[in-house]
Amino acid sequence: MLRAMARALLEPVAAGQTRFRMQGLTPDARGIAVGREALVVFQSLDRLVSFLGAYSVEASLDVLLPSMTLERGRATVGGGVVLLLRCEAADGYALDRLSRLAGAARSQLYAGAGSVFVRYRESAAPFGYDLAASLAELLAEVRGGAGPDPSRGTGLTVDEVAVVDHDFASIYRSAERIDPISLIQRLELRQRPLPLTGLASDPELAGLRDMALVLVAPGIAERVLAYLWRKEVPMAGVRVTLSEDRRPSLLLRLRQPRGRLLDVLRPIPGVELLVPVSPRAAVEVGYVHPIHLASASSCLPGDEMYLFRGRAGRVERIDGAPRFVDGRYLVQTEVHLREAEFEVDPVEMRDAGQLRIDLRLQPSSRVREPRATLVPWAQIEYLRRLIYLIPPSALAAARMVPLRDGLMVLSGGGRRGDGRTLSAGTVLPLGQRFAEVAPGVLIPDGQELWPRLRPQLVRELLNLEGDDYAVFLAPGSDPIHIADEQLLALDAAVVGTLETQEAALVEPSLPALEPGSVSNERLGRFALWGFRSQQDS
Amino acid sequence: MSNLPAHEPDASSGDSSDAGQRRLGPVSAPPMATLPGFLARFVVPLLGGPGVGGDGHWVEVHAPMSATDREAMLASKGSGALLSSEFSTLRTRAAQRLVAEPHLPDPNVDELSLWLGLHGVLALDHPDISRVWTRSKTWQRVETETRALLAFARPRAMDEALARHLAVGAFLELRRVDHIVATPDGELRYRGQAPPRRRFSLFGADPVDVRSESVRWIERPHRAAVQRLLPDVMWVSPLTALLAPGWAPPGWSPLMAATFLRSRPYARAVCHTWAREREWVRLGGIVAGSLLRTLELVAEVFADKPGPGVPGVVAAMRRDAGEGSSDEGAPETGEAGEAGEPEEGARLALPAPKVEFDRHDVGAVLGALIHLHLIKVLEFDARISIGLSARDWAVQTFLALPLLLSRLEPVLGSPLDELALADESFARRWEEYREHLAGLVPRTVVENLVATLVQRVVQRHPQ
Repeated sequence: MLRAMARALLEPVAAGQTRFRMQGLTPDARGIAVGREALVVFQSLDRLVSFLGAYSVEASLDVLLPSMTLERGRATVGGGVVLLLRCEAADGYALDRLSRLAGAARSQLYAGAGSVFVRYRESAAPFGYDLAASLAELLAEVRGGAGPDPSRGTGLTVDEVAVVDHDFASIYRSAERIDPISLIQRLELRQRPLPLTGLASDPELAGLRDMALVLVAPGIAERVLAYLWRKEVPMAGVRVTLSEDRRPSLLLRLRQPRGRLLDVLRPIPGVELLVPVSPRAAVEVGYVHPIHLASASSCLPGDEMYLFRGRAGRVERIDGAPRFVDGRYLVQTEVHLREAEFEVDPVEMRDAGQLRIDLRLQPSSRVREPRATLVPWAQIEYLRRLIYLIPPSALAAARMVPLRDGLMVLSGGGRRGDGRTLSAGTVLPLGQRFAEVAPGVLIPDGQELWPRLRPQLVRELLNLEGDDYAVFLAPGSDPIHIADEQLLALDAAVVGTLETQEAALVEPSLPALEPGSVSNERLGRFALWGFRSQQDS
Repeated sequence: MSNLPAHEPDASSGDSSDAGQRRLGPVSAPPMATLPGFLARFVVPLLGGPGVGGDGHWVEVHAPMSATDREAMLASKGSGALLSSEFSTLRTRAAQRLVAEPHLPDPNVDELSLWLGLHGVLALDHPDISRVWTRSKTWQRVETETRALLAFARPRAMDEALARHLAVGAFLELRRVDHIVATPDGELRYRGQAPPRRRFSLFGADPVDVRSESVRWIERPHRAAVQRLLPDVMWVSPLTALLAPGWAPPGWSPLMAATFLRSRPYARAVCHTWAREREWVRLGGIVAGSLLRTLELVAEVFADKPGPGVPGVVAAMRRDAGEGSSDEGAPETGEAGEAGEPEEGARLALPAPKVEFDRHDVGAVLGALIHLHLIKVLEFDARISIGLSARDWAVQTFLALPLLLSRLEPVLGSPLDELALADESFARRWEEYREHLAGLVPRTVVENLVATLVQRVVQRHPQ
């Protein structure tokens, strides 16, 4: 694979050196010898994966991937297979990072361009290395005299790469090209231990605290859905067809799930909990992808969503971003119509005319909160003054209608039955008060409808619709009907048109401070006549 | 009063109206020779700019004034103007641009002398000097008198120093509108003046040939007398020299104003003023270099003996560039010029006084400089600004300071304690920045600084 040399093949670059023996090397801003590209030689695949994983944690793989190529190389001399990673790196800082990470993955970084690369800088040579002899001679020695004539150039073919280190040089021939994206997608997940006491004991719920995806096998989807529905878990879901399944599986999204629930779901066969690691990727809980997927969105092309399943050892691609549907529409509901279990004889109907009675008002001692008041026109001046005292909530809810007997002030809010609003009828100590015996049915205070019918029935008997009112003004009189559109808002009715005046805008009194500006006033011919300094006096 | 240039404002106003251009000064203000007039025409526009007191409120420069004029001002009727509430408010607002709650003493005779001295400096740079019929000896007396007006002892308290900074800091910020008239003979520059009407004769230059240019007064070339006086101006206000170390006088040391760096509001103001500068690395280099020179460590840290000055100071840069005093763009040939001025005029400024300091002062200066690095890292501005152009010893000292942080921490503390907790990425950027600096600064410099400069701070610190 490589050929060791008796003499040093490289020499350190001196500070300020601008000319190099190797073509393609140039000094960067700090004087470090760099080329257009960087080459990392990995002895095995696991080192490459370690490198990519470390890089994705520290920086974004999206920056590296567009210019990155990955090849399986075979040494021309001695055999041996290595993995060659090439990428653009014309900057000393980027190369420093690559070198550091390659060192961590027990591999070596080389700088150069085209087909020749030399060792990158290290502590012994802070400005990098240059070739100690011409490249053609070196390569001739590598090939052991065989191969093309050194005087006719390097003799490297298009798919060959020469790597020169301190004491050896080697030539690799590209055997196979590997797509880095498909490599990353095919990587096996690594297991990550989960808390023995269950997910609930982990404050972060193993990454599921904010959102959890649950992939449910088709056979148990309905039962899991029913369970979650019973537990009133807020969820959304979508049915997705996985590559080898005939029936669609169920993918559920649970926002901020409870830890206890996750502990119940996780051991169920056919249920997989997935941790969303990026908007388009999720990894099964208990596993971790070797690459930090959040920084490698270009590894996942298209709009598909990727589910990395650890136990199944598969990567599922879901066409398009999943459009989750609210859980209530996923639950299967069974509607049964009850059948009559036995037959009954029809009742013989008769006319009930003799039972008809009138609805009357009778005095009552029952205390009710007044909902309206009828202010006689003679007392309208008092009302005008008392309006100032009505609390704002009561005033906002109050409505009025002018009747022949007086002005009826109805309080809103009371019809809702919440009892929290203080009604205007309570506040106004004027006129005849009315209480509400049924929704929209008002009777004078101290009276009661007789017989005591259900409130809803009273409303139906009076043909009330919507927010209409029926008012019994006095015992013995027929009720009057007030339609909703006849009611006016009290606050709007009592206040006339308001006229606004244009606001007088005032400039800020203090102008901003700025640097002064010199004005050289014109000096006369006798400007210094009579100038007296202290010495003169 | 009759022998004072009290007649000048009247004469000048006549000339200006004759020029047919806009009126530059407030018409209603009293004459310049009176205290209210001097305040309204010079001091208020100097401190507040043209916006204060209405548009067109310019810093008027008339004939130079002396201590005799000062006595006359104080003896006149309007001397109470110094203590007026409007003026007091203006001073407070000007001071609030630096610190939120300034404490200022009432203006006194010394401050009036300082304003008169600044006016004298501007008057000595007046383009009409050559028109004045007088002997050159008189101009030397004017210069001596201006220097006497600017002779101050070191401020006794911080409020006094702040009051001086108000005037001197505003003086450094002064601007000037030059009018450049294009004529067939070339361009004529009228410095801070409207071109005279005779330039616009019937067939002469069209007003469209006149363009205006706003320049910063201090950055333009000056007459030799003014250049000799500028160090005196800067000695008056140690706070201004600290805020603008590029204009610091020869022999200046940041330890002279270390008191301000030991006060939290002032230290914050100073650091952020430095950070606003585009050339913050050069400024940091000046401060760090001046500190090293004061402590006499330059030869010790940098084995060879560097030159006498601190690189980066404007005076030194101009000296290196071969720029001397200049009478730039004299309106007409032969109108201006001081042929008799000794160019080698040397420095007539007083030599730098002996600085008394303790290790806390040195620590405060180092802490402020390190904080400057930190601010720039926070602003994502650090790496962009540090190029390879400035490689002098002063800048290297400045760039080495964050690398000394671990040694200085026992005394100065760590800047990352609270910040790093709130922002982990910031802590990482700060470490990356320090690694970047470690690649720029030679290791020997860092080690020498640890052995010398750091010892001045932590030497007697109880372990």
